[in-house]
Amino acid sequence: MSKSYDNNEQSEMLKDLKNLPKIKAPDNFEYNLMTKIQNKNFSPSIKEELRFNWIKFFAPSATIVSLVIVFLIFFSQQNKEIKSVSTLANKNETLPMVNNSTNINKKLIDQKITDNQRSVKKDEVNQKALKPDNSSVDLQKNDPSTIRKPIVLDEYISGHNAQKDDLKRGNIVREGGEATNLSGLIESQKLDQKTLKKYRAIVDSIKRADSLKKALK
Amino acid sequence: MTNIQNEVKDEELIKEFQDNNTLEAFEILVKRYKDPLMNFVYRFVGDRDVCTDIVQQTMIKFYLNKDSYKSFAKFSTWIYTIAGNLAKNELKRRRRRNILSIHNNDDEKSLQIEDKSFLAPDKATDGEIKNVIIQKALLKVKPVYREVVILRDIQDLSYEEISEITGLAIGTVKSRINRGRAYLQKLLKNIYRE
Repeated sequence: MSKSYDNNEQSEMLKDLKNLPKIKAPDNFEYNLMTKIQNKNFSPSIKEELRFNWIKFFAPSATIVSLVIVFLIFFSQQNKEIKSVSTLANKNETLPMVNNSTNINKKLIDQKITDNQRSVKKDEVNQKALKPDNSSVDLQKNDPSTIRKPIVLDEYISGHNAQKDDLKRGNIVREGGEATNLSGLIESQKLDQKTLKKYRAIVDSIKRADSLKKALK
Repeated sequence: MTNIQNEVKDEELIKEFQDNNTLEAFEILVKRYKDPLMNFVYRFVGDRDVCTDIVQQTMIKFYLNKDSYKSFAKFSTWIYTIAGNLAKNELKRRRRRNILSIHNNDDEKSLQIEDKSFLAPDKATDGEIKNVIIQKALLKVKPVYREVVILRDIQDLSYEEISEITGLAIGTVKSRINRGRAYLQKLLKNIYRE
């Protein structure tokens, strides 16, 4: 059985569709048409197209602008967070940053140390004397007020700074102007004349002793 | 005179207009087709002013492109094709405008409100209101189905003629008519209750 396209279920609706009022053209339709043709005005009416709608124009632009604003706000907040984090990080790094001024001095110190080490190779006796003082350099490295003193002292003691540049010479003048009583780790003491004579007398008496002569024979 | 006008076939008139550029023949054809085209385009587009513009444009196109008509085709199908294409273009233009617009002037939404809440079933049977509801329901049907339903059930054209106008196979036309009717009935279920 072939399928009926005008089925009975839709008959009422189809009847209503057929009975819909017929739309008629306006009375002046032909007149308008012929006028258009005679005037050769063939362009379609574009009144609606030409009407400029500000709302329609601003809707997308306002959306874009608001998006940009939100974007900027979001990024400015992010930047603030990054800055705060970076300042914290900077605070942590302030100690080495502050010590930047002393970095040059540190380099000089290192250079001096290497110089010292070279001199130590040449003179083993001086090396023994210098080693403990170098350890004192390590201890006082972070203290800028005391950073020059021991090194210049070391060089002064070792005598390797005699022909150095002006800077070091200045240090010698300032720091090593006086002779120290240090001889390695033992402090030397100046003896008075009385004690000297006393010790000499003791030594002479020993030399004159018989028992010593016999022993020497 | 009017009898002679009615007796002359469309194809003879267009031939006269093509061959001798007789403006009278053109005017007779305009008189014959202005109302059927107005009815078709109005049912398809749903706006009277726009509909008038479209039919005017159809007639202008007919005037300007009279030579593109070939004698083997029926004049009625040719002029319906022009009107149909212009109506479809208008719908596309509207859709583009609606996409860009904040205020959606879609008739379909207002139709839903009228169907379910504003109109009681007894009032819905009233002739005028019923016609308005049917028209709004028609506009809610997809254009591909709407066009064939209008041509078949309102304009009373044959499947062959509809096939020529739309450029579709007869089978496709029939299936589209069936789908369009089914969808329309679904939309108008409040009116056509068992």
